[in-house]
Amino acid sequence: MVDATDGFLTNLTAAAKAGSPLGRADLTALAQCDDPAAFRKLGRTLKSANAEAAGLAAPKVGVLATYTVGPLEPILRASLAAGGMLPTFTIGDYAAFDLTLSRSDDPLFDAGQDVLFCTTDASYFLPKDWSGSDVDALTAFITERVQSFRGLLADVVTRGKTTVLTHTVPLPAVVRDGLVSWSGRAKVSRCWAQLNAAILELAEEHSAIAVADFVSSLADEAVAAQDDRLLRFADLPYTDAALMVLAREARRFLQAKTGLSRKVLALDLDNTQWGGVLGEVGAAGVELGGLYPGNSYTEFQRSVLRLRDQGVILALASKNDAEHVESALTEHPEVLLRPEMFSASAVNWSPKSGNLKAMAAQLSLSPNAFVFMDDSRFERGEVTAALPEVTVIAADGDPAYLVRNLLRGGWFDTLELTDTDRKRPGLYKARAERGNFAEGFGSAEDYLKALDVVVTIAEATPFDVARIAQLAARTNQFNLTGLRFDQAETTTMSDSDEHIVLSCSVADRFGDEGMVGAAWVRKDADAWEVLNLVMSCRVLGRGVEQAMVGWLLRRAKETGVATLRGTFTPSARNTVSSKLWSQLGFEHIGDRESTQVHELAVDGAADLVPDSIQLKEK
Amino acid sequence: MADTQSVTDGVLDILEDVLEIPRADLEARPTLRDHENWDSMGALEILSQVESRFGVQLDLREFNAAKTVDELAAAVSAGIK
Repeated sequence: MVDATDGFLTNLTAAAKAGSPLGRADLTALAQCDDPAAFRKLGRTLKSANAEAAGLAAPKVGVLATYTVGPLEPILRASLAAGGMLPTFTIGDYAAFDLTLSRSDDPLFDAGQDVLFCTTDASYFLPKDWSGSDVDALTAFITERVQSFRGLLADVVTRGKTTVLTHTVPLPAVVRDGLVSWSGRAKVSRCWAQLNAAILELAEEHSAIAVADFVSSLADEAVAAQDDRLLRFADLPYTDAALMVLAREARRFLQAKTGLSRKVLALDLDNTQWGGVLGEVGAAGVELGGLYPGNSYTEFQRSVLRLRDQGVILALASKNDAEHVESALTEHPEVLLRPEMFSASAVNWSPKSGNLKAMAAQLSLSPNAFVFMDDSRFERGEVTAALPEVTVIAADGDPAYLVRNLLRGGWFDTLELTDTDRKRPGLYKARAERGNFAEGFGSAEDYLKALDVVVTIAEATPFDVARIAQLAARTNQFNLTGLRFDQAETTTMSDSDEHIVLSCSVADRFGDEGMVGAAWVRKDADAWEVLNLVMSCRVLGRGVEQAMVGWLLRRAKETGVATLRGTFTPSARNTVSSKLWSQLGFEHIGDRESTQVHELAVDGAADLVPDSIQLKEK
Repeated sequence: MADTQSVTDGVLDILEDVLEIPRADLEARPTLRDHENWDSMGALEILSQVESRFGVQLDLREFNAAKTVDELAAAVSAGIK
């Protein structure tokens, strides 16, 4: 936990007022701060800030509440800023929750809204008055209310492109304690648990609805949900501390939705993965396994392994002698994180910032995809100073807290887990090896030919849609137009005759990269237009994007359509993909606002699939 | 009973911070509702900050009845006991 009196708040406030970029390290400190007063104040200051000047992403967020929005707005704004976002809010009308949800033309449902945050409180699900002697009537009312709520949200996501975030709701003690019989109280509590289960079920039923378990988070943080005075005086059912918990959930969700989640966990070794210093006590002397404190480190390693199973890439950053570490990690019977679990590793005596940077290059990722965890204040400070974009987590203090400190920020959240996530650490390990293989070749072409690249391109099937939507959400650099079609939109397009959604997978002699690219194409009678084409940067430089366009050209020829049209919308991060169309012989024929339009006459165009690639069409 | 001056100082700190009004202004015009930044949401934010800073819990009726900086400080002092 970070104290709000630390300098980060002063720095952030000054930067916001000056219209200059907010410091990344200050934002990470903010994410670990629990002081609502600081969030409210910073949230107000940020209201007049400009996202671009502040160096933050600018998601559009609708907020619809069953209660007074009031303090939620500044708290939510500051919390999202901690995740690198400065939201533009559209706030729904007070006391018009159901009405607004059923009105499809409400500004809250405008296209381009990243999320609609629907936040409710217990009063929404409870009758104004109820009889303690007729518990069945009370539970029947609650059950009916939650069914109507579920129906409203389901309508919202099925009729449009809105993504909804909502949450479970705590039952106030004054309701529970209003029942004197133990049996009646248990019955109402069961009914309320079912209400929350029914809200959570929405997330399983609709890919466009996400549900945060607010009730569990409140209990875990031991935060008071309600201040009776605020409820009665201003219809504020949640305390500022409770709103902080809610805002953190919203931050995690939007980070995942907009591709800002981190991908790599770089770990220190001594006093982070085990207790003690290897160089001093030897492999047999480190604290790992057994009883406290060794069990804390075991539990930490287990949690890290669990993250790896879910696609988080592990990197090792230790100041030690390499061979000493290698043998300890291989031979110590209690070690769970063996050397092969790390996709990249830097065990030497150089500054850790340089090592992190080198490992980022090796993995073809940017340092802002990294979370770094170390027990040493010195090492954390060194990394923060040199690479402020790295999210730094402290591993000092009682080791029992290691797991909580690692997981609490939710930095690795993803909307849905795909096959590629599960395989990712292995893929990146193959990539690091591929880097070494490349050093032995005279030219890039020789290298590519020896690499035996096989590209498989096919129209998207229902099994591909989750991964395709994730690629759309996560790719920033090779993303031609920034149009992030989500799972629902992608499904609609792949089912329709007017569109093609293509998926692209890549394998080579070192391993299967899985699905790494996708394109969304609209088929008009005279022209096919590529609405967006995205590709994971880990396959950049192998002609894969060219193969995707080549595949489209072949299809266009078969169909007899006259023109293939490509679009490109420049963003701060997609320069790497800016030359695609011109390099493939498309002609830049003009612009639609900030979007460049490029065309290629299909008839007579040479095949575009590169020689070094073996294209498989499914 | 807490030192009255230190309570007044603390209250002024919070008012200055939440309402974004310079201290001199607050001292010159101590009636809270004379300041256009004063509204019910701001008042509740001040309530929560005052309570966490001084470790008190106020009766909202008494808090709402305080019209000036001094009356607010007095309500807080009474809460500290």
